[in-house]
Amino acid sequence: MISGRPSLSIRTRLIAIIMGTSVLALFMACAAFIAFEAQRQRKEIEARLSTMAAVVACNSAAPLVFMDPGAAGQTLSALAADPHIVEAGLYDEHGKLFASYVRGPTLRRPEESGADAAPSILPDHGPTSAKADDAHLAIWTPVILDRGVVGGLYLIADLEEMNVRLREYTQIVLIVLTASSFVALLLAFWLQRSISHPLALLTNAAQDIGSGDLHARIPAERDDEFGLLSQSFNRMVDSLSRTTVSKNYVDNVFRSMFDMLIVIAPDGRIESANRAACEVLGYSEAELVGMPLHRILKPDQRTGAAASPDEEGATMERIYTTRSGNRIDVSISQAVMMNGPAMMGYVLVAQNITERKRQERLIAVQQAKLVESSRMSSLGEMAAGVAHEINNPLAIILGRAGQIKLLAQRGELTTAAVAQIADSIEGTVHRATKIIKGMRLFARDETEDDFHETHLRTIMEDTLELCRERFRYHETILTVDEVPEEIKIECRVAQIGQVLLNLLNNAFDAVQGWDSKWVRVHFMERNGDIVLHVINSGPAIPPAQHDKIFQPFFSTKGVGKGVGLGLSISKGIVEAHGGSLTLAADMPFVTFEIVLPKSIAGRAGSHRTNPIGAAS
Amino acid sequence: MRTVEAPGSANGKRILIVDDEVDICEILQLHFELQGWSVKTANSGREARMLAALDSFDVILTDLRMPDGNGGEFIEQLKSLSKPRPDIYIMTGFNDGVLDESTLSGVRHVFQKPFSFETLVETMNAERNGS
Repeated sequence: MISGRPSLSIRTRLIAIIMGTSVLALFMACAAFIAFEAQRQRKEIEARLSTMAAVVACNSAAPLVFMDPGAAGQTLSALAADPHIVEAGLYDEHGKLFASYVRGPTLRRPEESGADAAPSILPDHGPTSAKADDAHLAIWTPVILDRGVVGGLYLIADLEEMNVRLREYTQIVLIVLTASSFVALLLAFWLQRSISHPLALLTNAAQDIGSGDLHARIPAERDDEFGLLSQSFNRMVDSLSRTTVSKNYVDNVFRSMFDMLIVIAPDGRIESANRAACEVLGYSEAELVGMPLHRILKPDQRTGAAASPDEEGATMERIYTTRSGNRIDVSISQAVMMNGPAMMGYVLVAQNITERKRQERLIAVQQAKLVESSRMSSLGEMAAGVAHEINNPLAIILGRAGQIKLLAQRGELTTAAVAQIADSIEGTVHRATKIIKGMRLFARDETEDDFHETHLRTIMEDTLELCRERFRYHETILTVDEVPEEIKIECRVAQIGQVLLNLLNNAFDAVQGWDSKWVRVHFMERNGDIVLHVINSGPAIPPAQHDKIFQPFFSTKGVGKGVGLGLSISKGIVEAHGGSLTLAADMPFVTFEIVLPKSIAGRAGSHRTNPIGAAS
Repeated sequence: MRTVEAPGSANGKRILIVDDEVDICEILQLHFELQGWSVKTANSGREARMLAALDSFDVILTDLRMPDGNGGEFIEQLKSLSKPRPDIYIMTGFNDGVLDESTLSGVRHVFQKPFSFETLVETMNAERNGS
């Protein structure tokens, strides 16, 4: 983590160091210069003064010896040539003032000057000595004649001019110092900028990348070390952006998913949830995060496998409870998040399938209705033929009754005639009864009925009776194998009859309009199962339609001739009986094969009651 | 097929009865012959077409649906014959409207099975007297 304002502290320090160093160096140079200059000027004045004093002392020796103060004064007055000398005094060998010189209006008493103690300091062979205070320089020199000290001379020079000059120097130096400092400051700024600006850029870019923006780059046109650093940094970011999906991108995907995405920590608490999850469940993200997963599960699912995330990759359906207590159906798929060997948690993707479930229930209801109406429709197809089949026997019976009456009227009703007529009536009634029985078979709603053990022969005869008429009237030959008397099957009779009738009706429709019109029902036993083949002479079914024909609402018949449910319902019924209904391949004629186990024991999936099993 | 000349109101009039139900043909033949009709029966459309082409009839009573085709076609064929047109009656076990209007236009009456012979005769007499 990068703290606070690193660039600023580096910057401040850089400026401080640069400024401190340069100002200190300049200051020391200036101070040394001024000190040296003051020293040099003092030395110069002192040397001049010494020379002057030596000359004056030499010239004053004679007046002093000859006791001629006038000449001494004249000698001293020559000192006026040097503007620095403000005062001079000549003493005799006893330390008594012999002659003096004072320059300008400022009368300076010798007693107050630095040479005031002249008598006391007048040694016999005292050397030339100098004394100075801030404003004046005093020099004392003995007056010597023939190696004997005959007196002393002092000169006082005014240092004012030197001080003024030094002050001027100092001012100039200060100005130069200020200007230099300013230049140094500019240089310092430039230097810190050249160092800390790239650092600041690098810092900002690193922060951008840290927050997921992999587009951040640093200008890398410099030739120096920073240029190299920037280039390496940019290369690093390039390779990072190639190999890593940016955080922003992932966040965006996560947020814009329509499905709920919930990340669960290993302890079962919700670690994060996307917007869809919040919206569907009615919680805010802050509320969901940290909540145990089982809180949103339907109460009866809170124990066992449902409460904890399930196995990897599994898709399952669950019921979630929203904040307001509504229950929603969800389809969940989940994955375990691993970081090396460590389990990081689970990712759940949950889809709200409440509406789909509702639709499915609705469709199931509608399918049941369709099955019913389809059954009625196939009944309706037969109704016309059945009416004919019933009305004809009735016409015969009525005719026979009329015949009896007529014969009786004419007295011709012999025993033989009665027997013959009665036989005819009996046979006709049997015929009608069979048809009515077939009808009754189909009129029952036995979707939920139990299975009954029934003779297959009976089912087939009853069913065939219903369509035999139709075949006969359209000159379609119907051949049915003799089914052995003892063959029995445990089944829902009406449903199996419906399947047979459907197949026979389909076969009948398929052969109409062709020269050779026949339908054959072939019976055999295979592995203890009943196998029926319904074969027709109609055109082959294109291979592309082999699967489609069993799908609901697929029909090759014209509009109004069928809804396309017959085969899908038949398949569903047969499968609910644990059998199969298929289109037999590699047969010379169109052949549908029904395989049915004889008993419930040999049956799988007999619990299924929805006849549209083929739809799924 | 037998032809019996008998005394009765029909006085040798000729009728063709067409039905694939042999029993029905037999019963109707008995009744009509006792009333003095000359009766011929056919049990298929093909047989009926043959008889109608060979012979001429005063009345034809035919079933509508037969194994070898629609009775309607037979009726249409009868109408196209150049001979004096017979009175055409239909008997049918169906109670839905199988016949179209044009077929019915030349038909005297449609009898719904089952019917009694008395009803048949009364209706036919009424039709004949009415025309």
